[in-house]
Amino acid sequence: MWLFEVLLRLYPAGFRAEYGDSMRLAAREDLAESGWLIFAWRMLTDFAMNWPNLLLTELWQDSRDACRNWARHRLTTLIAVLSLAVAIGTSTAVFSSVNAMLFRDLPFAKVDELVMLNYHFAPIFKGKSAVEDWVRKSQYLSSSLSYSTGSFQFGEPGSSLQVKGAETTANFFTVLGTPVWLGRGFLPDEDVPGKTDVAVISHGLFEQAFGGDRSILGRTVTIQHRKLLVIGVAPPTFDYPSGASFWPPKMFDWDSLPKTGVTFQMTVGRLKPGLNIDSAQSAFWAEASQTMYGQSATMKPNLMLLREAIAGTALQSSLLLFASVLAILWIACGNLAGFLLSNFASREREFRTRIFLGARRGRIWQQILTECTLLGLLAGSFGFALAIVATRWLAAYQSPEAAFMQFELLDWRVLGFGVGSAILCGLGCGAIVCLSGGWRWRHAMTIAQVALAGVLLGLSSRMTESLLHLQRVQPGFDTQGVWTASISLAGTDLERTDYLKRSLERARQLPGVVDVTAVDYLPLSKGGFAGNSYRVPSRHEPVFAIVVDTAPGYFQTVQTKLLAGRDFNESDARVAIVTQDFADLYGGVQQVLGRKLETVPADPDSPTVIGVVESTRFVKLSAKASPIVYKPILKRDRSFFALLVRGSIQPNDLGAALRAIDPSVPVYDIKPLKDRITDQLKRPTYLAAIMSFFGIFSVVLTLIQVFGACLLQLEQRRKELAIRISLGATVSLLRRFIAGKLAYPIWIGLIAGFVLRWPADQLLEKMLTEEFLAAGGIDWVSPSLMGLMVALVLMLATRGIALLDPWKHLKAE
Amino acid sequence: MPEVKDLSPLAFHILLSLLDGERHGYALKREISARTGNKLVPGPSLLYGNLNRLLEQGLIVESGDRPDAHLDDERRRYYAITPEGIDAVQAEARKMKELVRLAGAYVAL
Repeated sequence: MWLFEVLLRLYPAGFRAEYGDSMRLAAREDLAESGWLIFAWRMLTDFAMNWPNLLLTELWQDSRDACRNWARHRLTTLIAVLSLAVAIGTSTAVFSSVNAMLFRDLPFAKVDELVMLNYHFAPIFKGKSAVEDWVRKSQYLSSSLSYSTGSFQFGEPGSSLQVKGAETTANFFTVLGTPVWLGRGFLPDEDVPGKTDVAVISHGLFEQAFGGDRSILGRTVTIQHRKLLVIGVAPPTFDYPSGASFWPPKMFDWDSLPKTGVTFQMTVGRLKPGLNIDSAQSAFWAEASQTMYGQSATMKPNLMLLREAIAGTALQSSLLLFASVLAILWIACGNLAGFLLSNFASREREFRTRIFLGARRGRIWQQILTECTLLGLLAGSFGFALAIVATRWLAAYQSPEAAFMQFELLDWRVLGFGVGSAILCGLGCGAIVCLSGGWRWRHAMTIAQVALAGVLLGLSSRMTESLLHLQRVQPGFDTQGVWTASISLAGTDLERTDYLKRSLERARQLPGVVDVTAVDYLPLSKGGFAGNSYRVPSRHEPVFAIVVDTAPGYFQTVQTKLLAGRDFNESDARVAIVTQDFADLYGGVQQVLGRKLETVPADPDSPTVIGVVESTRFVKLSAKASPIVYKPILKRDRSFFALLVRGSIQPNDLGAALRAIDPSVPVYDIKPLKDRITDQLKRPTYLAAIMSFFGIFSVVLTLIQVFGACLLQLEQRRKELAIRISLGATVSLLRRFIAGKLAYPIWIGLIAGFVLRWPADQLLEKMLTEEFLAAGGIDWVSPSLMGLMVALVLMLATRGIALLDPWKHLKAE
Repeated sequence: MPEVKDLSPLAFHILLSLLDGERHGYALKREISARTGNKLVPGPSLLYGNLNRLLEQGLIVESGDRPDAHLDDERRRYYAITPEGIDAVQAEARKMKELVRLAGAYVAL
């Protein structure tokens, strides 16, 4: 019979209450007649065949009751559902980004064995056999690949199409474990100089540039004026690293493809089978300590999982957002529970009557849980629609490295999270209602809500303040009215300095032009910069300075103040202009003027300082100004440079004038210099905006909860208040009395929020490595503001006391 | 009163059994099993699920009449057929008869 008793408990509460006893009686007689084996078989098959039908019938009945109840409380239901929907929607959207970075399969085999070595000390410049020898002796790697990314001119001369590509070692696809989609991958010796003129192209390039024509295999394409034989097509969506569109195996044939900017050599390795990341890191550091990087104070060697390296800082900010949305979800659940507690408190008489008429408590609980779960699911479905919109917005701000990990809502983990959180929210709130309808739970929820809302409000105000601070930063140059155009001479046979002078001349002739100059690396450029180490009198160690090559008139064009000395002229060579912070390392402006700089390693052609300009934030708007050494570009034979033009010009005219010099030279990225600052502000603006939304939304939800709790106090104490009024109590006294009933959870919540700000700030600083956070301190404003708003809400909610008619409520007495 | 749709085989047998007089759940089960030669042996949830549906449709009612206390168990619930129930079982039987007649024109019965 125990089996029958177990099964009986699983039947819907209503059916069990109605027929449980009769079924038990019948089962006992059946067991006596048919024997336990047949009985057990019958009970199990009977349960399996009929349980779903009985459950659905009862759930349908409960659902209809729930709908009728919601219809009676339309406004409060709508507020509760919408607030939970926004919370579920945003948390699902943010979870989709965390999922994409942490859990989703990357297009590599055994991805958890792949690691990124951040400082490359593999003998990549010594050739293929040296690398193979290094891997063979490695204690932690079974194989390794190297690559270098860049922007390349694609197509015949005259084409200005720039595509991203990655020069790799021949084992690139083999080590990653990604087979090509069409054709073949690289042969083992195809990265040996002389055999490297082959390439695998991306599926996107295959579709867009060649219309999906499979005959592209075996044909040549022109990249950077070099012919490469197409041997394969990568799988769809594969564009690792950095959105690459083609992969030539030229890592050991470095000079055969001309470069158009700074390039970095990256190494990815596959760990030896069974080796975990901690052991691999220990072995890596032991090896790194034998190299120059191991001795460096600033350049710490590191080995990390490729998955984490790809996600980068975006992962940390996504985790921060995820923690915030979980807090919002909690607050929204509190609101829903508050609504349900009020709702079920007003139906207490109905439930008591039903229990009196024979309904069991289990039946009532089942109805409450069904109603709450339905509310959760309803909010979840609205939330999912919201998540679709929010996800698109989030994806637009994804870092380029992680761009191929598309945000996917139709992923089982994301769907599971969305549906699971909806059901859990509903069931959790239902459980609170079933277990206790009292004020203890409500106060506990108020404390948590006020505390979390206070923390979120504080964090959002700090991030907004940081953003405003960043927007006010003076970078040391003026972007107003300055247009930029990038030009690549790589792979052409043109005389570079001559071309540069001609392009400056052409730009000067455009109508409306005030100043024209050229520079190799633009300030705040994502492409990187060059630098050199210098020995200075004030420091024992060499100082690293950014080196920028400019044409005469650069400082005038970008309005950087010349503090002393003079600008470059066309005949200058072996001279330099330095920034003030570099000059300070020499003891001041006058001390550095006329000095010959000492480069490390020593260079007999080291420049002499002829001028000092104001300091500039060259790398990042959020980072402090770095020492910069400017050199004359006209003597540097640069294969790439950017033209800066100040004035009221038409960008198309600038492009046309430059292309007219030589149509084979690609001119690209014609955009205002101001856009580079806007690009730098994009991510901080996004983070500050979303955190502000979270902060304000959580406060609104909390205020709604406090308002609802206050109204419920009034409702439940209506008769008591009437008696107090009739005994002479004033309205203001009663308002303070009601507000006082809610005061202690609010006070505790405010204090808890104030205390929690410190660890939350620490977490924020740890997670946001974007360096745009303004310095934190004790924040009195957020809790004060929160307290003020709560006080206002209490005042509003208790206004009804003035309208209370004591005779109406005491008529019965 | 909910609309009466086609009767399930078990519901039809329940109504047939109740035509002979009031029965409790387990008695109905035994009678149906015996009548069908154990081809239809309803389990408790199937039997009481059908009884519940027939009650909602108004084809049966719970009977207040009970046997003598020494012959009875107070946990037992007795059911009686209603006039609507009799109509329903007659209609179902006529429908079956018609089906048999139609089938007889095509296959040997």
